[in-house]
Amino acid sequence: MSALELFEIQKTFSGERVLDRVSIGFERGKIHALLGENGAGKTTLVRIATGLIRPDGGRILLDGRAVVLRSVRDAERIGIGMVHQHFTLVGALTVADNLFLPRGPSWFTARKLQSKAHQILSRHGIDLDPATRVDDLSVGERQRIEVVRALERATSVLILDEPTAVLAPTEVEALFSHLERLRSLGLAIVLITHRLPEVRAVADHVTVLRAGRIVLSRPAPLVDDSVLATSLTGVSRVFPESGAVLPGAVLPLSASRVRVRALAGERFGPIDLDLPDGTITAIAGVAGNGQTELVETLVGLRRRSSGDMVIDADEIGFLSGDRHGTALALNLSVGENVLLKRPLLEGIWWPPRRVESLSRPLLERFRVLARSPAQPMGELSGGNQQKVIAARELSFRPPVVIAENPTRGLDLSATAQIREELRAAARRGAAVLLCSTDLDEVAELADRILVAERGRLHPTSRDLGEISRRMTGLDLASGAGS
Amino acid sequence: MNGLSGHGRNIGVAAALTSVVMFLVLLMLWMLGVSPSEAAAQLFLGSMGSTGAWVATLRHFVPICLLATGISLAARGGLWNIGAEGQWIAGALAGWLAASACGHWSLALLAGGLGGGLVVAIPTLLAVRRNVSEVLTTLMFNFLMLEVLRYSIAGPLQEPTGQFPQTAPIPPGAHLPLWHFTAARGAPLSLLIAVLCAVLVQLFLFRTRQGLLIRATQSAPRAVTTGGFSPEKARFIALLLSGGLCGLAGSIQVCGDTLLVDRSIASGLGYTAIAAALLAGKQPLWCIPSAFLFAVLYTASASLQWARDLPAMDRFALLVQGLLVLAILAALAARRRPAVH
Repeated sequence: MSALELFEIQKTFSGERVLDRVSIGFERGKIHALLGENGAGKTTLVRIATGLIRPDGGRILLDGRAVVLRSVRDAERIGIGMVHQHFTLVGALTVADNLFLPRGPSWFTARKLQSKAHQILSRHGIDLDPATRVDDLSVGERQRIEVVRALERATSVLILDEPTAVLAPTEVEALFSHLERLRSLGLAIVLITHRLPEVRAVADHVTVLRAGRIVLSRPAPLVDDSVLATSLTGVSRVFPESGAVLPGAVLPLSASRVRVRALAGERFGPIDLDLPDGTITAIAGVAGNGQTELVETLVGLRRRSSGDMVIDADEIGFLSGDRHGTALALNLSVGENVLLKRPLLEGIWWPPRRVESLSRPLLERFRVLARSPAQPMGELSGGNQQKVIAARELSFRPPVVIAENPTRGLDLSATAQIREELRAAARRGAAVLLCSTDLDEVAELADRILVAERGRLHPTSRDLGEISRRMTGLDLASGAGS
Repeated sequence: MNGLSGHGRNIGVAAALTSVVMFLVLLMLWMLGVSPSEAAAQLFLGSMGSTGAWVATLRHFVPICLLATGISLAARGGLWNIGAEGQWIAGALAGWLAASACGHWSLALLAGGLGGGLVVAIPTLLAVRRNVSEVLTTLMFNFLMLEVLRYSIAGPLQEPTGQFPQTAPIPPGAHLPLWHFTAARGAPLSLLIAVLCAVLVQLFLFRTRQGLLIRATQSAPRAVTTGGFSPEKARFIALLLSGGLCGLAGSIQVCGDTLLVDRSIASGLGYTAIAAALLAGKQPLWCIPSAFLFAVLYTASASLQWARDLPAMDRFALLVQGLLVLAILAALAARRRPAVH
């Protein structure tokens, strides 16, 4: 019987169904891998399991008994603990302090705390001085302290949210052998990950979520790699070859406006990349593989740490997927936002009437639904906000266009419209870089495809099976590139 | 600019806040033994009941309006200029120096603006180049300028007899047209400057490209960067102009009101103006009514103090201000949507 069972869980955020009657059970003595792309609902699911948010419908059962989780404390009390993706330890305090924060004994001496901490650490087979400051630990050591701390509070179910994202390979091995020990002690372990080799290495059971539903749930030995990759990315067909396949990232001719050599920065590089005029180059990949950092370096939002980069364009058309942080000023009007670009915003005087008369044709051409250009930006729906970005970034006919998840969260017609605008930009000769986690989008638009994996770009054919294997790290693990 | 609905809402909020605060004030006075009707009458008469009362109110209005306008300008660029008080002191000292040296108010006002700008320059550079919080640095400069003031009026700038901790009066040629409503001196220039500055800053923010960029920088500096502009430049301009306006206010105070510099110049108006800017919703134009309200509060509570000689009344104006700020913050917090998880 499952230690923790989630039954018919439903959750809706502002009209969008994030979890659609998801039922899943986590058994004692098993490591259960939970997979899914960004936005598939994994995080929402584990937040419900740990009492951070409450479901709209469904039941949570612990050892067959229905429980109601109103807070993280409720979840801890019945034995459910979580290791978050981001570290929660306090760097300036010692390991012992952190182990007992914030629910340790009220009265203690440092020595007593340390001896208790020492007992706990040795029980987990960790050889560490509890008086060490957390700041002085390696990333892998910190991660294991996070695990130990979660277990000090929760004793039956341990959930880990992408615990290996920041770890070096040897640290991953250490973490996994720790998890295997815990499994043999009878704990139910939930491991959220993007990497299929890790699933292969430790998981007993695999569940894949896509768009709020469970699309696969099987014992790990019964799951074929390609089935896993397919169900993860939702792509089951191989799309036909169209146009020339350009295998490499660097082109033989120097006909491209954007030339990048050995470029490196935070979380990516070194990268060589050319963007030829009149083509759409797509970077596919699971989010968090350095694409965002690369794009932000190209458009000047980040500094590179080394390498060369030449962009022959006065201004880049930049369709950012980060609407509120990077693309739009929500305290300004729609008209002011659509003109917030140097080629459009010329001259000193910009009275409201001028803003309106210059922005109106742009808004109409891109079919932005706004009452008037004077309407506050924040009042528009997400789709219309994205159209405002497209109107601004494409209307001045930039020779270079960089788009990052330009249609995320948009409805079908808005998606089709923005994709058509990108195609039109390429047709009139612009060099277009499309960075997308949506494989269908990549397949539909790209003239050539690169896959981002751990900060590097790998050229790939148009075979979607190969792309999804590369995206999930399988090709690299097995060393079998095709 | 905001739509009409936005302005209507602002007026409604301001009216509701004022009523709540007035109610609390009268309640407190009643607890101190003053009948509410008598207190209300005195509050009105003391601030607007006579020519003298009007003059007293407008004397407070001019600096609060200028300072609040300056603070709003910085706030529109996402920066909180807590240093208005220090910049105002610098403006007063610089204005006094220029007035004494060249004997005309126009140069004194120019010097005041430059003085304020000079004081805010270091926090501006730190904020723009090194990402140091301007809240902290501008506040620190207030304490620094307070000491500079003390030193100046007891040291190098002290009046020739050396008896009082104050400067000598500025020469008559440097006087702004004074507060002679009854005499035929015409409209006081300082009042005109204060209102004009609020209007000009409003136009700058909402009708020029640089104003648009400053407002965009407040919420989305990255969008300004990718638009091909510099959010650093926008911040720099906003904070420097803000300091300049506060300095201008200080020199106007010297040339148009006090005619010399003494310890009383540091009376905390720079902090009051932060509350006034908050109430105005960071709209320079709205700083005019907002500053007027705070000026009324100042003179009304002062008159109540004299009229009743209540022991607990000597900090009355501050008390009322405190209530008003709390009410504003509560209203802002209520309007903000709860976080969604």
